[in-house]
Amino acid sequence: MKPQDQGGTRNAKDRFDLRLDAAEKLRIQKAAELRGQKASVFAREVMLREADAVVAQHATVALDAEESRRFMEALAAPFKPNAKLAKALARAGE
Amino acid sequence: MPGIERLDPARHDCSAFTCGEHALDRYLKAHAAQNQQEGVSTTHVLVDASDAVLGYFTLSAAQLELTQLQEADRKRLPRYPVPAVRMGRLAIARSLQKKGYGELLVGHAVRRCLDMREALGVRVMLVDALPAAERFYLQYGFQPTVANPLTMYLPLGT
Repeated sequence: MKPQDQGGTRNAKDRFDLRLDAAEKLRIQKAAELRGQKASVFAREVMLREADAVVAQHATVALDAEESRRFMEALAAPFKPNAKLAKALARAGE
Repeated sequence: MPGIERLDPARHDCSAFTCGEHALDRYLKAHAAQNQQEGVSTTHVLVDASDAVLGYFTLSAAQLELTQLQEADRKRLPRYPVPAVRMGRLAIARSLQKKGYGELLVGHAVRRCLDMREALGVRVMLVDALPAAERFYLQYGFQPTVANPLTMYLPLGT
């Protein structure tokens, strides 16, 4: 699953240093205050969310040559769920 | 009887949700609503009559790269790479596990993908499986990719 979520904050030991100018820092602190969060917690959550978004938008999976051939065959035929999936689909309704 | 709805943060109560995987609990409570608002992924929740969330899955747009395809095969596809839907997460509350709700959620997720195949030409469903869930997806006909057995796929046919 998403590695950035693992462990939460309780055993977070790694640090992430970044430079920003005073005005930028104030903007972040002000926003964090409005949410009632520490600036570090706010920054962490925002960065993780944005990282998720970028990863999701570039989510590409690759199949090797043999799989690609099998995949093409499956795509050329009508969708045929196995018995178990057919049952699940029936339960889910139209 | 619990039903499945798209996450509505104003109405659905995620606060008590716990499935045994910290990352999945945390995602639902801290990120699901925001990601949905920003168009990154949608979250579909299993809710009871009091709108308490008992399970969920997420869907997002993705792509599948096919390698070394014959030119003739490539021409049979509308686009390249292949447009896909990815189910990034699926979780069920501890109190409801091993009661068949996984089947209900998978059924709904695949149904949504088939709807999207009709609406916009999605050709394949991808799943990111946790190691413990690999067998679960195999049962429904998802196939592991060679590169990563925990990334699984289900062709949606024509």
